[in-house]
Amino acid sequence: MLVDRLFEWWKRRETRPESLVEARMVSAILAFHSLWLLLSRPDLPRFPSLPESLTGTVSILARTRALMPGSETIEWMIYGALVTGLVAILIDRAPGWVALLAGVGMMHFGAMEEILAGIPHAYFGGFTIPALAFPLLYAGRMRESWSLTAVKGLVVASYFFAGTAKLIYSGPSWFQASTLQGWLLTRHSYADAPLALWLAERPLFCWLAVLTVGLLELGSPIVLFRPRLGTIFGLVAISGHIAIRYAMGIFYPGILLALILFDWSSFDRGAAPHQISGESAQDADDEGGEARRERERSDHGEQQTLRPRGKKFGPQW
Amino acid sequence: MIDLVALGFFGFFVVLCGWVRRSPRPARARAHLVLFLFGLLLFANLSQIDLWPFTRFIPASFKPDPYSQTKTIEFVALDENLNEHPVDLRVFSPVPGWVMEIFVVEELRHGSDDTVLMRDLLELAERGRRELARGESIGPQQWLGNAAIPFWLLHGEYEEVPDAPWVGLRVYDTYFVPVEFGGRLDRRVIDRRVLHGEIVLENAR
Repeated sequence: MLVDRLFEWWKRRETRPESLVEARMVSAILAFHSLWLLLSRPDLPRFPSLPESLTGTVSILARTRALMPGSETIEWMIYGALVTGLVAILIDRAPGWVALLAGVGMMHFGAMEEILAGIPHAYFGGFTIPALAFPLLYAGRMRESWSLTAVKGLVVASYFFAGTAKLIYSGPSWFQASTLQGWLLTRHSYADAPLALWLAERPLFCWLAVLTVGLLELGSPIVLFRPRLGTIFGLVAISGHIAIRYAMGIFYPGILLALILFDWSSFDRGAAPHQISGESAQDADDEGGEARRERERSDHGEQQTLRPRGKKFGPQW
Repeated sequence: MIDLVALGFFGFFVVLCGWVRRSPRPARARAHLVLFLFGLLLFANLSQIDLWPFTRFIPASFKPDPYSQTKTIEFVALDENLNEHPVDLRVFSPVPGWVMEIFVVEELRHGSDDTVLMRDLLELAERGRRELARGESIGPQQWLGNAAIPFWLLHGEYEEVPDAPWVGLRVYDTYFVPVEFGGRLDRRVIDRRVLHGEIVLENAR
């Protein structure tokens, strides 16, 4: 029964009209976040030039996992190509394969960053979601509804599993005021957390905060079924991350990814839902006949709108 | 082995994405891709076996006790008078501070010859000191300044450095109680420090 309902929900998400605004915003947010991350880590390509006493401890298996060529020159080339590709995605001037390679590039630098310690913390570093999301967007030709839903699912997963981890490691007792007070006081002792003591002295606020965290994290999957709630969730999540910066001195690099959960397709209202028309010759060659027929069936089932007058569409994905 | 498994899963995922884009039966291909992706994430997060990027998300999942002893790693540099100064962990960039803490302590605990490692770390710290003394930005802020992602929040910034070169480096396990017993909320009490590694240049002794 539940499986049937999930299947029906997935079919609805697959066949819902494509939203140009949503497609553009999701890829732009991912690209901007990735650029912000890379430009905030400008030393990454210098990793191979670190002293041998550091890099010599990295096993060949670990280097393979991170796809490390072992040359600073090549790392700079990869870094430059990745930044260029992300800028192209941001301004909607990149062919689809650039997104696929962007995902591989983000995986490469995300793994390399922590390779000395066995990648203990990479879930928090900001590379995880782009590494998985960009290939998904490529698979969905940067516009198909199912891929955008899957990318949103990744963002939701990062919150949902953060909630389940609390239950796994600490049980339901995590969600009480004393837990947050413990975090605030501990973080205050060695981080820039100007609000930590003030908040720790207010148990009522701490109760409210932990229950809100629990509700948001464990209830986050609902935004996949109720897209309008995604906007509210995103705003609350961003506010929460900003609050955590001042309360605990921790900044989540993926803060901008919460914008992906906004209901961007609602900005298509008022105009008829439209397909991104005109497939490139490459796309036509790529698709088999059945796929083309399936797309045509989908097209005929929806209201068509020609491309807006005077507006040139971006590159064919 | 886990490295190859994780890479294999990611490689398969990328291939699957390419297959979806070209598949003559795209609906079924998409279903396989989505099931693979989220199935792996579910596995990682239920089993707590990390296969990054099919990772477990575990931020702040335990309950710290601010009244009990806790531990942090401290890097301190020695000036010409052998006075200690905290090292700004951005000097180890591109290695993040949290990675360097784990790495150094593990390497020093294994009992390997730490002289070379400590000397290299001192050189990195000294390079960072020179840059900070010249007023240059280091680490994440080199290009974006304060608009960069504030990774330094985790370990603090220590931009006040002496003009004279560092002559030594020490690595401590520092045990402390975040809150004094008795309930004062504004005091961090250093209980003890355990020296893990030290190097002092010969001409500084």
